[in-house]
Amino acid sequence: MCEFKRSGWCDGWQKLQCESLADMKKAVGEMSKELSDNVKFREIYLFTFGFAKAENQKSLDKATAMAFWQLLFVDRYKKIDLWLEFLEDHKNAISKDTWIQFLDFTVKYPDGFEGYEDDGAWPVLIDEFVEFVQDQ
Amino acid sequence: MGADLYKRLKDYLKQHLQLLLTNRDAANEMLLVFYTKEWVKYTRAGTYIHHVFKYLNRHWVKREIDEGHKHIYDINTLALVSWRDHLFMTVQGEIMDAVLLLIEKQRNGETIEQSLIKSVVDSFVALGLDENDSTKATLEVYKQYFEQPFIDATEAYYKSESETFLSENSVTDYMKKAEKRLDEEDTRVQLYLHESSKKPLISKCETVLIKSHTTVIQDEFQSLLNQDQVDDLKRMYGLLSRVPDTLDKLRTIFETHVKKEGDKAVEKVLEAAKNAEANEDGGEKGEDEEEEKPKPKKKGKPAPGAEVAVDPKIYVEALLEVHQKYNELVQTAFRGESGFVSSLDKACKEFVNRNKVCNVGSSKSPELLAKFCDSLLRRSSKVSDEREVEDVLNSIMTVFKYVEDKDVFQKFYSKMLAKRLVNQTSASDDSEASMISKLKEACGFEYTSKLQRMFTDIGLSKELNNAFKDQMEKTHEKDDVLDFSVYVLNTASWPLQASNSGFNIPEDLVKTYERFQGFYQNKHSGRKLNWHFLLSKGELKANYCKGNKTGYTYQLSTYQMGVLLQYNTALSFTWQELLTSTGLNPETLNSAMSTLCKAKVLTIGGEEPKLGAAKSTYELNVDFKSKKVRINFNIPGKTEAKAETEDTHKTIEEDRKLLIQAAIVRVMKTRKVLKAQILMTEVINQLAARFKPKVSDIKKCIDILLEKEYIERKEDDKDMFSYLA
Repeated sequence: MCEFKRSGWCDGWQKLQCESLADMKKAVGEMSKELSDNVKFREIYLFTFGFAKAENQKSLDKATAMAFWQLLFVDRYKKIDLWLEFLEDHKNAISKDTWIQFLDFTVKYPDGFEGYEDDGAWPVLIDEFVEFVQDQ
Repeated sequence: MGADLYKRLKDYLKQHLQLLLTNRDAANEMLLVFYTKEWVKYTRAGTYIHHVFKYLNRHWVKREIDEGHKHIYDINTLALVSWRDHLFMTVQGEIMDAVLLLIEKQRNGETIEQSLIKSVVDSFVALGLDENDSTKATLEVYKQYFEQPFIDATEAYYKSESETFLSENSVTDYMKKAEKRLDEEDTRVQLYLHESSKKPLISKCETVLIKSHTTVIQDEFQSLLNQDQVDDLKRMYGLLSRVPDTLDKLRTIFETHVKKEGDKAVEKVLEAAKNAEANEDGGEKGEDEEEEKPKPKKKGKPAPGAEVAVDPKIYVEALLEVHQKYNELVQTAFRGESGFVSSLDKACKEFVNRNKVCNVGSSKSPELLAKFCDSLLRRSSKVSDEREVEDVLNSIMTVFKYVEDKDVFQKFYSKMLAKRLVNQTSASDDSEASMISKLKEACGFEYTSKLQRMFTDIGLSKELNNAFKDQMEKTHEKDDVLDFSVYVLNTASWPLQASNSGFNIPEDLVKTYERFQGFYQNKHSGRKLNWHFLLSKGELKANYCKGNKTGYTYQLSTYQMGVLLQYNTALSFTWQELLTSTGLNPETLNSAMSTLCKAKVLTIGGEEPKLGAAKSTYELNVDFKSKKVRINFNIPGKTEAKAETEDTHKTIEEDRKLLIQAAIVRVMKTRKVLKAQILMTEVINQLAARFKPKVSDIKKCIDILLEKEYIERKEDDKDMFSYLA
């Protein structure tokens, strides 16, 4: 998990025309700005799942998932801390579907949960999260 | 000449009638007497002159009518028309007043001369002629001049009576009066009114007597229910059913009432059980009566407190009592009306599945129902008459139909059936078979196929045992052969759990074991036998007890046999030694020995004289005494029973998960693409016959199937799923 090929590494930087550490720093800085574009962010978010999980597994282990969620959502989702707190007591692995749906969830319910239906098509984990927050 | 004759006749009649008019008696009843008397005379005369003037009728009159001249009639009709125009029209108001006065008197309880009114009616009817066709009679005159005022008067009379009565009397008494009045009006029509008046009259009465007072009557319904006043309920139903839309409110009240009664009955059972337990707990508290503290629920909600043991028989009987009581009520008081039947069913469904004993989520009703069934079908059942058993089974099925989680019942029933079959504790094969066929009828073949299979296996095993016995007789000496029998059962059909412990087959039993293995492999070389020593049992003869000459027979589980047979070589063993020699794991050894130790067959000693302690020893108690010669030590403990129940529930949960997933796949395969909510509705429908799945459980299974890639979400609409072939 979280592996990439050496060839990928080299080719990638080459395409970005980065030769030195300073170039890389600059490039990374610019790429970070790209994250604010929602479409780009979605791409990267979806990619993260495959990248982060182990080769032979279908799901992503919880600890890794939490780490990446922390990384990706720290400034994008107001309730990210609650989400992580919720996950402490729950489930072991995160399925691909849950991962993907989580992003849609944060977009649709960025702050409150008004209009949320727990008999809708959201994954069970998210239903439980909403209940968790509402109980508090 | 015809015309002239006709005119003269007409004038004559007119004069005659006008004379009559002036001579009449004005007083009410006398007027009626006068009218009827004259009417009879007149009509008879009319018939006579009709014949007298036959020639005129046949020629001149007929010609005139054919030529379309109006107002020319045959003589009889002329007579009637004349009466109508010259007498009737003037007098009809007074006549009606007199009639209505009489009727009012009769309604007030006085006797009247009914024939007078009948004659008036006949007269009015006869006067209704079709202007254009003198042979046709209409009821125009009757309707306008008699019926209408009559009905108006009736309305006024009953309006006032009902209001006064209700203000001074109870609703039940009012209903009696209303019923009587309605019957009375019905009779009235038969006695002296025209039959065509029946419908409008009764309808008007119903409106005034019942419809206007609907709310007052409906409000009384609850208290009648509370006090089981069947006759009054019957009367109320009879009255209100005449007026449309008045029964809906009753049905709702009824449904709520039955549900409450059901809940109350269950609460009573629960209270009684709690009290019984409280009294029991005050007494013994054995060292191995482990009180299991319920694990706190996941979301931090408070634990519901230890579950009280409810006697299945009392519970089921309580449910049945309520059902039977109100079913009877529906049949007798509400004439089995389908709306009330459905209200009853809805209420019963509610209190059978959701009541104080069944905390939300736990399926207690089907479990208790199965346990009750078991107690009935076992040999120790107090009900021995087969027909009585049959009746009780039927009533069990009545409750069963209301149970939502039928799969829970099936699991428990099959487990208990397996035990009955294996332990030979069935009371009657016929009753067993009868119950299975009832279940098949209610739930279909699939539900009962495994149960059926169990019976077949038992039968086959009997044959197998006989064959084995025969062979042993042929090949071995009598002394060498143990009294032995075995049940060979199909793994798939039997809900039996193997022990998770190893076991060293005691020396004395090894030979028999090997012989049977050989015998069976010979017959069916492809099959593998899994021996369930956990469920096996045997008997040992104990001749070691001091002070006992005849010896005892111990009925033991095979594990217990394994333990005791050790004592043929020595009198005391340590815990460790027993573990090794029996090959059992500690839990299993512990539960096997607990009864033996409690009964003082073995005495615990050593540094740590506690059952299962590493440094405990177990000595054979040669001073063991018992009043009975045959002693059964093979009794499962309370904790074991409870553990088994929990196990069964777990199995049910797992089965349900699979069933839900299978249902989802089935639905998706057919529909290919489906919205989430619709999918869930479909799944619930598919599984309704077996159990009611929770939405959250269905969603969990959807998640599983998404992961397993049986289904996927649609790209553009995350609320839609599509089937992945």
